[in-house]
Amino acid sequence: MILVIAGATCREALRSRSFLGLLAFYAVGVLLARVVGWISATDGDLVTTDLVLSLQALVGVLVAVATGTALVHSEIKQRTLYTVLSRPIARWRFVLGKYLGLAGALAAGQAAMLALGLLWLAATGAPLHGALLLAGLLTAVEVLVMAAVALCWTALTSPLLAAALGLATYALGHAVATLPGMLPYLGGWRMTLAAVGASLIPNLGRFAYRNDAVHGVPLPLAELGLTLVYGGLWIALLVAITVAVYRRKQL
Amino acid sequence: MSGRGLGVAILVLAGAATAWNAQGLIGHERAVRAKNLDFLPSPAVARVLACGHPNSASRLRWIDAFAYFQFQLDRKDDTVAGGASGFERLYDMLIGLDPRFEPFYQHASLCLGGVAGRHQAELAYLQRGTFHIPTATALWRTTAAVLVTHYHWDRDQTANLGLLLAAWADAERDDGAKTAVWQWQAQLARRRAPGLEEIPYWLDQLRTTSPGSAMGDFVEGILREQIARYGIEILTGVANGRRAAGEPVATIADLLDPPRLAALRMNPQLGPVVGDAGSPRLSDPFGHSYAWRDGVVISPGLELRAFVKAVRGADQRLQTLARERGGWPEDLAGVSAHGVTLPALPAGAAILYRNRHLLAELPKPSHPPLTLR
Amino acid sequence: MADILSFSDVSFSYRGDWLNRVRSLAGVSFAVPAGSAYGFLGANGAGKSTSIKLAVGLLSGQRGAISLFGRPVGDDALRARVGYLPEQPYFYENLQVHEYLVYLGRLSGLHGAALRAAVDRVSGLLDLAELGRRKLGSFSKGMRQRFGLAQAIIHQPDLLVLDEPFSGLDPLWRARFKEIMAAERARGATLFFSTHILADVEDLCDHYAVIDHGLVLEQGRLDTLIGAAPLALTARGPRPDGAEDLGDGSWRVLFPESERGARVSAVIAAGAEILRLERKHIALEDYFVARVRAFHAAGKPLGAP
Repeated sequence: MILVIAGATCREALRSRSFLGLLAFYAVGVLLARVVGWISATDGDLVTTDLVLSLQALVGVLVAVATGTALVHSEIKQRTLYTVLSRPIARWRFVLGKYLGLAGALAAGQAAMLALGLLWLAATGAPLHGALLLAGLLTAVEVLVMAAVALCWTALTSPLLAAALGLATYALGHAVATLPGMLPYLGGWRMTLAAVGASLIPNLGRFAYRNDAVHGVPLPLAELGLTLVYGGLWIALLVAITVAVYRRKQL
Repeated sequence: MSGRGLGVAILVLAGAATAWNAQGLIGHERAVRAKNLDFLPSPAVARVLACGHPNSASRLRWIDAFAYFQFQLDRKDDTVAGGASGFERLYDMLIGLDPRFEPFYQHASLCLGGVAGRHQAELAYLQRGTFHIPTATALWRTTAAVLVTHYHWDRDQTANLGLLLAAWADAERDDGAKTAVWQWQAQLARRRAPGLEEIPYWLDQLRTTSPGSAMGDFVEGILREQIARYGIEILTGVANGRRAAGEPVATIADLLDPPRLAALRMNPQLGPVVGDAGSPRLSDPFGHSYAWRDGVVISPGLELRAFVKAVRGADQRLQTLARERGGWPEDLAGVSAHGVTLPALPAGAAILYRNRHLLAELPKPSHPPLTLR
Repeated sequence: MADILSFSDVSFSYRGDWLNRVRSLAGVSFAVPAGSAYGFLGANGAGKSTSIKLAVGLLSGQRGAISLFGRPVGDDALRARVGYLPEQPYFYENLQVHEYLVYLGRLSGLHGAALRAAVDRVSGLLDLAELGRRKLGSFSKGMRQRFGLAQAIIHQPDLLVLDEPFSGLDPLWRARFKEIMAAERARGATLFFSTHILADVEDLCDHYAVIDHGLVLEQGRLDTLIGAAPLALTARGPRPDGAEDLGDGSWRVLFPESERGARVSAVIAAGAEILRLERKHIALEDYFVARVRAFHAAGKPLGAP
């Protein structure tokens, strides 16, 4: 049942105009990234590669937040889920299926963006190496975590506010990554408070391997594995919270 | 309105909008920016603001900063950007965002050292660079060049220079690069000629720039200036030798005196004598022939370069006055009336007034300029 | 089991603005006998859709008991035997008809050949076969309604719950829908549908309930209600007191079924010529309006079960 719902959700998402529009936006951005590389006095290829990887993340997060906030809420608003939940489907299966479907669509989008980006880099003479693929993979996991964040926020509040909170979570998630070096300057209860608060937010910096990948810094397999587990843990937590909220929600 | 009419209207409007935009984009000179850089955040804050994209943020900020440098290249002045702190704030932020991007350190070296002459600050950035990117050969080489050229470590701190070179060789990965370190040291002795002490440093800087870029043009200009002065010094030495021997100097051709040039240990690659052995000639590195005027050796290229700088300075003054008075002069005559002093014209040069800017028109050199790359 | 769906003193409220609670149902009780066709009548906002959503599990947290197939309504597995058509249904815009039917059929527990056969069957019934590759986003309201019924009956449920099933349909498709619903009933399904159009209830139902402002005003067998409707005698000749002059020389008088014999004899004895004797169908609408108005005037429910 979960996979049936996921399949339909994935198909619906991949065919939506906003999804395709953002992919087109990515394509234009990648073209412009090359122009910026030309403007750069030196290391234009490196500049372009940086921008292409950043675009994959930023567009991916935008798509994740936009579709994640609309995913279940629009179904409730437009009543498309009435014909599904009136069937012998437990709500938790429905929510999980919706998330998996969205994750499938986002993963496909990320794969397409990564492929397009790498092809463009190769076509314009920028050097390619395996680290860029790994960077793309981890960016995709980051996007899936953000989709779960958006889904969870929508369960708790309106889609517009959920989108704003989702983007704020993205900014905070990366800010949290810069904290370890700064916390010791606080000391005492302030440090504890900051540490506790930061612990409640997914550390998205763990997925930002792209910043090291362009310099060819290798990523140990163990680190890669731990990061994937970390991402899975946060996704599971956020989806579980979403399920708990929707179980009691009046439709 | 019919469908066809609406389509035509859309096309016309699109054309007008695009043309208006293009007018603002195409045919512009490199913009000189003079805004204080105090608005830049500290490295820690910048990392937070970058939201997980420090590399991209640093690249875009860096590219945006190119517009600052033309002014500084012309005037050798970074006070407009907030003084000494301005550019350091910029580089600290950029390096804080991505400490592994080598061009940041090269840029810092060129701007702070080459342009502003603040070699200690330059060394600090170079050292940070070699710490974060141990295999950055260019940074090591520039560090060594600064220490030799500006701090005379080859003469006064030979042991420490040896330690630095050993650390450099140790940081290099392959044997060829390690060997190149000691070859560089060996070349130092051969390049030590009076008047050319800074050439190794500037040649290293030249390697970090791209042909045709603002920085590239600047470094090439510095190199040619130094080589031209060297040429004047050599030829003046020849002229003094002839006079001391009672031999007259009537024209510049009299100074094409091989025995005296050899006695002065003229550097054959950078000296004032160019051309093959069968038809040597005296040419400055800008491609102009040296001249003998009023008993003094003149490099027309050097004169023209000073002229260009003076014209640029006059143009800056004109723009400032025009903004203050709310209007530009109609023609060149009006520029003087506006209160701007125009520089004297070297032979063959002219000053033009076009699109509200003063431009220097230069005569074409009689020979190709000295190849530096 | 006698009743396939029953509400027993069910109250339900939801959160409105500023934490106010809005009471949607206030002690609703009714029972849908198995195999019946049950019409759920009420004006807009009466509580019909809320009751239906509680029955199919879209809403929960009610006070009182709702039983479905003899068990409490919260059990997910019970809904495998329910087919539901929501009011003004919406569907995913980018899914095609055929793939959507397959999707919903799978969620109803159909697979393989049985699923394909079911999809073909309902597509044929509702003229969707040629529209199989069209996306539902391009559908008109009536077409969506057709698809809605198709997905509701695809798994041949024991209970069909339809919320305003005739909404947005032209007369041809209204008639077709009634045929299909009748066929489902003939198959053995129980029909439970809401409407505010009394003629639809009259055509299809044998049981009814009337709901207004969250209260069931009346319920029972439709033939009892119709049987209570007066007879209309149209005749020409000597006009008795209280008869309505129809203007063409004829007149009409209304009287209950119980007075049929006496009234007919009296008219004949007076020498009048009887033109027609019929039951007044329009009395059903008058009856409904009168009952609702009477409830509001009295401030209490009438004819409680």
